[in-house]
Amino acid sequence: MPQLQLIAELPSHSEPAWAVTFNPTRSLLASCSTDRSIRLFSYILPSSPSADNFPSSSDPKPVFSLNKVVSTDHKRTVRSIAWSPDGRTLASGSFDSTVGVWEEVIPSSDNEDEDQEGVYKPDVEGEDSKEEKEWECVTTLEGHESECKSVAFSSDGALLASCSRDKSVWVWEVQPDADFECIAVMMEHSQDVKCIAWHPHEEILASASYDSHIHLAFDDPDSDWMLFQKLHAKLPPTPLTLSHDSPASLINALIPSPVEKEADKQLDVPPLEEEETVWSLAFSPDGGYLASGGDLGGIRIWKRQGNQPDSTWTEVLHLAVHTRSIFSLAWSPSPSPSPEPTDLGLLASAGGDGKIVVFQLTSFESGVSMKPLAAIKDAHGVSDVNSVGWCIREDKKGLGILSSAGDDGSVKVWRLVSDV
Amino acid sequence: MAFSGALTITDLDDFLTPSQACIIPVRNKPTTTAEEGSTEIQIDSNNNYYEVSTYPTDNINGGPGPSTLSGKKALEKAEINLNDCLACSGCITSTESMLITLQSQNEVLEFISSNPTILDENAPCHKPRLPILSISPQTLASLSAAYSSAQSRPTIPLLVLLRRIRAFLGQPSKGGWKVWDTTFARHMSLKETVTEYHERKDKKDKGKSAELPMLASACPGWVCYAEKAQGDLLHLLSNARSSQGIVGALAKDWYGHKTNHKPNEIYHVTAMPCYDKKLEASRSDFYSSLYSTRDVDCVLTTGELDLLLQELGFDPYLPVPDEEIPSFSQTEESPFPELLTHEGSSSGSYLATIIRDIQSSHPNPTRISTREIRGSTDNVEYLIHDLVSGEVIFKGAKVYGFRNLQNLVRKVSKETGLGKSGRSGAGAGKLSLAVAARRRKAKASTTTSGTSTPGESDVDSISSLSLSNGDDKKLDFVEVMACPGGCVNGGGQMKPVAASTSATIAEVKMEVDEEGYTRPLPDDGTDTASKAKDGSLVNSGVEEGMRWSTKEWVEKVESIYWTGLPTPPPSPPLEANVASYLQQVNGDGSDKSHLDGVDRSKSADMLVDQIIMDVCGQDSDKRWEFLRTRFMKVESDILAQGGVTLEAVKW
Repeated sequence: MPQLQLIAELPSHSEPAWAVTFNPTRSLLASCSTDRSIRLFSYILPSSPSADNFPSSSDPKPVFSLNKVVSTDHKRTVRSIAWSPDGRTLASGSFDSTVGVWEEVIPSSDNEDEDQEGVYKPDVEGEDSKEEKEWECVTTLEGHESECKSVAFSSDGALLASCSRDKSVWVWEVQPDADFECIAVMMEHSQDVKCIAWHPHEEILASASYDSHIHLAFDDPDSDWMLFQKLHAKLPPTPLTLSHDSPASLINALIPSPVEKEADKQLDVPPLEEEETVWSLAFSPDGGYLASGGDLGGIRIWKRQGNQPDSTWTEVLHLAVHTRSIFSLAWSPSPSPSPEPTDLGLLASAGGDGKIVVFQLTSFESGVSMKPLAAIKDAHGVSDVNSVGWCIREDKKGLGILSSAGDDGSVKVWRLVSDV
Repeated sequence: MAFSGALTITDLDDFLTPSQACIIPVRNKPTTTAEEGSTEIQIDSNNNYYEVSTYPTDNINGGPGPSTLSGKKALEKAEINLNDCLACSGCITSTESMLITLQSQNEVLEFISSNPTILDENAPCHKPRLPILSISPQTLASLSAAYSSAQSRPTIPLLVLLRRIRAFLGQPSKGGWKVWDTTFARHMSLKETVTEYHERKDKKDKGKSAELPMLASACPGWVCYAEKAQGDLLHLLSNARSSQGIVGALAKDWYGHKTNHKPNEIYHVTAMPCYDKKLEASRSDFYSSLYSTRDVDCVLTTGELDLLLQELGFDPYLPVPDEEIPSFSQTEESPFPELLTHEGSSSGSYLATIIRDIQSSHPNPTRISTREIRGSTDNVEYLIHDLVSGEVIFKGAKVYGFRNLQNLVRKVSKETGLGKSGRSGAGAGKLSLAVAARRRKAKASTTTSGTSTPGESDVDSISSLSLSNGDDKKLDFVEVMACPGGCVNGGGQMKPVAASTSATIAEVKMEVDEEGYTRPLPDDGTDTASKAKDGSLVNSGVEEGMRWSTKEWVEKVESIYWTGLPTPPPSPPLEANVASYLQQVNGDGSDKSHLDGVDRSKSADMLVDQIIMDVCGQDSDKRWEFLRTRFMKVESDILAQGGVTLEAVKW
């Protein structure tokens, strides 16, 4: 059985860290925090990849180091960050209600530029440029009335979406020259919108809210952007079961001890029967499934019923996993070099109970199965785990590497290994 | 077990509820008191509040001020009314009753029953107030559409409907109302808008750059938003009063004076397609402190007017004598020409009026080209080309709907360097010169290559005319409306009514009851699933059937709006047709109905001048107050100012 091995503990933010995300094309990991900075970590993957699905714990580890601390001029917490698919642009969503768009540019000295106006200079902004580049805010998107909670680029990078406590979901079209045009404002949620996620290859946008609904929207060919489905969970939770041959680490992390159970009982406020804030969303890499995580700590899987853009989604599984809210979900393609067609990849979840859990998802005729692969408790000590992100790159290297960010401000990197 | 960080947050307030944050912070006049010390507040038997110093009154300054007399100081009561509302949409969705009950058909019914009439022998001795109802043409069109759909009968032309409502409400038993329409007021508003445009243009030509584009301000939803969120652009808003603003002044100042009524002896109600008109009427510019009265005492939405008429037993299909014969000027019933047509848009025709004015005063022949941005009829650019020089002499736009409005704000900020988007926010001061240079470079390259490849969607294929595509021309005027589709689709309009027989009338009424309540403004999209629907579908888990559009409905209202007017235009004048229309009008004059239209318009012009002379004389300040208004930035950004919720909100 695989395990989660801690491979890096990166220099912490001074205040809670809210999101981590790997750059899809370059060896960069980004994190953001209440300290209003964005940290960029660079890494080097080991040169000889393991032949198996998962490396062994003694294999060479990827090496991570702090690359840059970008202090944003956001006035409040940077709550969410997202890379564009080409890896060149980073969007930041802040509690100051704005969205920043960041690009790496060559800083110029203050006088040089004006003098050279009109003089033809070949474009030297290639990857191999020797000049030191800086991440700078090239555009600020305004419009939200209150805290922006989540930002995300569409799969082809043409659209940027944001959501906010003001109950709205906005879609911006990315235009040349760091320009953006608002193409949709959807105000269908009745409460705070916590999270948004784009379908992995179609222009379908999912949004999750405190109103306990997930909304699915698409660009109606006959009209504007509009919702085509509101999802409201109703399946009762299936208890998480572990087989007897499960490794001790998994049992230890997922099955509460009597002391923990007792402590939990003392703390527990009975949850509202029907309403469950939806905190987190993740689409399966094949686009056929959507995972959602909520207040009650269960992971729900929704299956797409067709191939039309507006095909409906139905709830097929609700598995009790965490004892508190699931703040983050991340879904990675299978690290196997030749995965079975039924292999849906790896889903990682993390939340208020401090645990990180990784599942193997497999589809079968009538549904989908979730098998816990590995779990870590107290991943960030006593702190909540706010975000998890898989390393998913175009070159498919680095699959199985997971990063996490917590209320303690730290950013950690884990990898799935075949043993400990 | 680790204590979750979440447990440490006790006063989590993670959703919007109506609160102090919903109103403009109450500012009391700062007082300078010599003695700093503990005080307490006392309430006397008359419910007056006093601040009482708990220090012995040793009267340091020896001044006879009231505050030192007995250490007791009367406190001003803080009053909160609609004018303090930030229109934050918080209360529209949660405590709509607050806004709605303040100004609703019930208040008007209450007025009717309490206002003594001449017929009433037992009337109290005070003079009855003169009731006036001013109905917007969009309201008439919406009512006509709803009546015809509900009863499956033909639509009622606007003039006929106006006459029927007038005849009905004019009965003493119904309150003895004067019933007007607001098109003459709009005529004045449009004239003033043109005047203001030329003032701004002149100023701009003299080097003051930040006067244009002028942004129409007839839409109170847009005004609210601009005052709240776009304070830096406020001076671009047209200061000309909206038609409601003007009709208010006409009723109370001009008509009141003419008929020997003090402003507070007139009860003036308007019927508008829009909830936010209630907010507009509450603005301090439209309040007379001398008479403690507002220019418009109560604003009804179209839906509320319908409820009022239902309550009073109005039958829209009951004909009245001479209902189809248009009046040409002042009559007993209406002191203004009725239902003046202003070709262009069903949202006031502000842009079309300016275009017409510029075309008619330009020395060379001109041509208009239009371009729908992204194929949207709610976001259209208008260029006037000088056919001799090929120059673009004017660039205007009609921008409807919240989403398009966002892009307009970004565009205007960029063009003028004003506003939040003009600066950069998160990276303020951090935008390197390299970025700026790259942008300039990119811009330079597009202007050189751009002329040979103009936008594909150009209606008039500008390139074939070898006219400039106007890309480098900045906007001069924008007709801005917060609702997609403009005022015919206003938030207060009748909602689509399915053709139904009398058996389902109850259902129809229910829909009417619902109307407006589910539409927070500013709103985008016409497909808002109603709350009732949500509620009933919540338990079904998977919710569908929300793809319900009012597009056809809005089209119906729009088409009614353009028909059945005293001098019907040959067709709803569409976009680029303004020029050809003008040619027809100015042509050989063989078309009698057009001549009538011009006559009516000319006589309306004369009446406007006369009214302004009646009310203001040569006093230019008075004229300004009569025809214009001002906008104020609302400092409402509680979050940014470290208000109540700054630290309470964690996630």
